[in-house]
Amino acid sequence: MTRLFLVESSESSDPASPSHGEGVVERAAPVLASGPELELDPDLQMPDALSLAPAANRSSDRDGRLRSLVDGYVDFVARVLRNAGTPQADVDDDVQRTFIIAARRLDDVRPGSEKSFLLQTALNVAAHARRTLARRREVGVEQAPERFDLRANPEQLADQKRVRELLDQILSRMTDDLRTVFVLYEFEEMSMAEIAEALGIPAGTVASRLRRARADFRARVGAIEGLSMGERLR
Amino acid sequence: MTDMRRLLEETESDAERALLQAGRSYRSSRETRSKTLAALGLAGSSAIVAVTAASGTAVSATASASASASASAMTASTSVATSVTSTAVGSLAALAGASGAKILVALSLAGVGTAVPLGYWALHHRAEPPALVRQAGPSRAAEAPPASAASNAVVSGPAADQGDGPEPAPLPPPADDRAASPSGPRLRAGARPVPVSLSQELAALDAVRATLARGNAEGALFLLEGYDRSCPRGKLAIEAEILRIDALAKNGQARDARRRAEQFVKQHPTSVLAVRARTYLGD
Repeated sequence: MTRLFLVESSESSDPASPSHGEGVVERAAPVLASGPELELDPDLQMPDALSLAPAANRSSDRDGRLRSLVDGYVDFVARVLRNAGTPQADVDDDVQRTFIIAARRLDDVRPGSEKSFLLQTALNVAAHARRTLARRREVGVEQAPERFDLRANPEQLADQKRVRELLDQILSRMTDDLRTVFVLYEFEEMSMAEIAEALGIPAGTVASRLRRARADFRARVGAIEGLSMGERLR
Repeated sequence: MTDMRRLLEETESDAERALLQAGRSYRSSRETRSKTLAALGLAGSSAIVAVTAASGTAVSATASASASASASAMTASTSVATSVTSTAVGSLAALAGASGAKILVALSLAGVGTAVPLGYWALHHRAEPPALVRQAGPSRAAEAPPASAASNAVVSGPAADQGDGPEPAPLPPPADDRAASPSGPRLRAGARPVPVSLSQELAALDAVRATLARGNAEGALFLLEGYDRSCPRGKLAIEAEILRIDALAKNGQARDARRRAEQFVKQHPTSVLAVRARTYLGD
């Protein structure tokens, strides 16, 4: 089964593909009391704070809740965004976007579901960013994929920046569905049940995606390590 | 459902391990947190001392501004704002290339006024900024204490209770500025910009935002002048510019607001903040 996911073609994992991009959105449902769709048009994401003046008490409650959200989850959100394909240069912006959306929907977020809500929001923001990035690339010069060869240059593993680039490259070629589960399980160390709940998919689907994602990941790493598939999969 | 072991725990490949660790170990920077709090209008209490320090900067910088401006306060206010353009634009251009140094400004949903930083309070109770301009002609400004004295005065206000704030941050001395050209905030050629920390910048803009939220657009413009002088290459120049556009519009200077908004949109057509600037373009 693993061999089936030695995906060589990039078209199936095009991060700009609407089907992948939308996939996250359509499943990201369970946390919100009201509809799950997050409108990501940046034009609509810019509240005019200066014209808003809610009651002071309520404001300070909200402030407190918001602040604890930021304190508790800013690293989580940044990491999810980054590992979901947000370029380093855009992480700060997208972290802010995520929390701004969270702030706007704060009343809809059930206590205890904050992490899940932020996760869904961050994934949506990242998907939106990937589509934008893909559109930008369509008009720009296609970047030649960089070749990594760890067998020839094993010292690259000691270079954090290089390793991160490598990881970006590998993750960018995974399909969004697999990548999301992989990132949440392997990097965020969420349980399968948590992932299933957050993404609104059955636990069995999480498990099968994870297996496929791992196989995909290992195959890609194997390829850059210069190992043949036979060696890799033994 | 039994979860599988994490790949990092079971892999024998150095490459896999390095990659998995890279994915796990990604952390946001301190700046990310500060900027996020600022974007939500919550920067105040996390950097109260810094806020105070920055407000002190604003006071001393603006005091020296009035010292150097022989024209009337209102004229000074306008001309300073105008003459800053080139500096601001320069900073904007620099920022456009420097990724990750943006804040989605003034997005507080909780009411900016409720989060008025203590530093701002201190500043505000010292002297309402525009009032300071009006009353502080050259003579009063000439008495303006040097930076250290100014900052001490402010820090000994309410923020003194805060005890262990982050970095009390020595303030940029205004002396250079005072010696600078008499006509405005431009730094004297060769004058060394004094480094200002991001938290100080945040705090300064927080004070601007709070002032604006209180409906004191003139005061906000005044504080922005202080920001420009203290942070000629501020990392948050873009955000400052948006606040300035807001403040100009609210101060009845619609034409100035519109002109700057047009320039902003031209310079940063894809910025998330351009959306805000565009609101000043249509009638």
